[in-house]
Amino acid sequence: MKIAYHNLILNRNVEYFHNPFGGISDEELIEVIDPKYSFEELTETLNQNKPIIVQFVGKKGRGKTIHLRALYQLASNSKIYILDRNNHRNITNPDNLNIFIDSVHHIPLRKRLQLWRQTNTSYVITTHFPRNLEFFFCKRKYKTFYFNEITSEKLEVIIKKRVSKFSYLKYEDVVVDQDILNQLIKKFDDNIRATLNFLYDQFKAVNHYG
Amino acid sequence: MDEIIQVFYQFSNKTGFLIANNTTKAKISIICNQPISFSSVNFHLRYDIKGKLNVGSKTPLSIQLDNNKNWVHDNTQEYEIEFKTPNTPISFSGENLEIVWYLIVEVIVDDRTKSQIRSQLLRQTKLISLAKTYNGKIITKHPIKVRNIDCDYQIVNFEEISYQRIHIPLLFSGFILATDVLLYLSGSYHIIISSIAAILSIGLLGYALYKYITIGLLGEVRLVGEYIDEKKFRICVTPKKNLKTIIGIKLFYTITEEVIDNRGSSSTTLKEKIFESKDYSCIVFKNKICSEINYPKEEYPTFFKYDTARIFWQLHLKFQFKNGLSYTVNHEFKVF
Repeated sequence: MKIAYHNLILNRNVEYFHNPFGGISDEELIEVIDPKYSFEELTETLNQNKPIIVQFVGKKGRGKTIHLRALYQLASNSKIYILDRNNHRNITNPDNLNIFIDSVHHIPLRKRLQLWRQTNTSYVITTHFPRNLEFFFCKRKYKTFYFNEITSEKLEVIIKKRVSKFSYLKYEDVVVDQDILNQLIKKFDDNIRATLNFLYDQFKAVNHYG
Repeated sequence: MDEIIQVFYQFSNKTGFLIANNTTKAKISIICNQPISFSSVNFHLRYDIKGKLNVGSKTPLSIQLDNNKNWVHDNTQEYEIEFKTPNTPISFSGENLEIVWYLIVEVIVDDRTKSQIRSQLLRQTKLISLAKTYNGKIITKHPIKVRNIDCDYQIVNFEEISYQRIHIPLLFSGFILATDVLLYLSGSYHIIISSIAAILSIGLLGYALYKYITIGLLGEVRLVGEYIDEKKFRICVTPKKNLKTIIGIKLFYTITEEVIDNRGSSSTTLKEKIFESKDYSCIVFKNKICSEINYPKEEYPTFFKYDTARIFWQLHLKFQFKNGLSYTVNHEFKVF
């Protein structure tokens, strides 16, 4: 069967607030995200007595940034930097603060090492490959969380959460076709953002609600 | 947090949606399912910018409904408010961009109720940090529509002088050619690189010549956009010289949505045309060439910009010259 929205979500006449597969606002994050690692585990890791560097490692589209943003909401006394090529210059590191940095590769190596050397600051970062050598060089304690692989059960939860959050359907009432779910995983592997972008386009092809 | 209060609303226009730029009365009923004390109750109209991008939001209207009270269980409060709906943007569902409006009722509870809710949260969730970071607000969100049902638009008058700079491609062409010759003379001649440079130079020279014998003939071109009424606007084109070389101008306009998706670590620009008008011909009057243009007959978003998302209107003027050539000038303009 073709991967079309109506073949994936089997409920009919659903009233949506908007396309459920787009970007997520901060206030919706905690409810919509299906955490790969439990937030209890992540917050406990971050809130240890000794400052730590937590690195989220994975290719693009695997959910690193969304986990970083969600964890930021749950961590007190923190600051977040979503970086592009230019804004790494704004990073300041006052004492006793948790610093969250998305796309750490935008920071030049020299400045990164300067940051890691601030031993009383904890960091949570996203990166495409592990920065273990840098941490080792700066004698920092770190913990790595990998973002890769997805199961059909996981993808089903992600889709159901989004559909139920942005429509009048209840989570338990959303019916997802397993065959199409597996086809999606075959097509996009563990690239969740590519899957959601594809579903965004599929959704707008059949739902005219504007 | 939805279960602590329930909110119902009704608009005086009885349509279920808000009309942009119109004054509306709204009746807000709040049922309280447990005792709470608060410092204020606020009504907000907010829109979220959604789609294939990092979500943003703006709250163009806020009204305080109540302050410093205690509500008991089953308490029902009714408020009647009157407000003018902001005139832009309207609700929009495009290709990669959506503008979603919400009616929000926010209760800012006092410290006593805040700690009660915090302990409730602790009982309900294993996530201690969620309860710890609870910000003391009870928020209910209802998606609503803001519409421009009369399809009224208003251009922002503009006057733009467009100078047709043919010397830039000429200079580039000359520079490349001169470098090529110098390299040849110095003996560092490379057949492939030099050939590519020569082709590029000739191409740029050709483009400069093409500009010179088309739009360049007119010298400066003055472009004026004027308000007529909510259904149409006027565009006038005044060339500085050689008006007679023009045999006709066709113009049309487009509405385009543009989104830069920079979620995660890469960035993609997504551009989609959402409307294209019919072609309009221009009438020559004295030294002016003018045309009256109709706005779309359907609801389309007006000029909008937020962070990496924008919706823009653009004029496309195709000049046809006596020498058989044509040249298109594009110009963005604002409509609200």
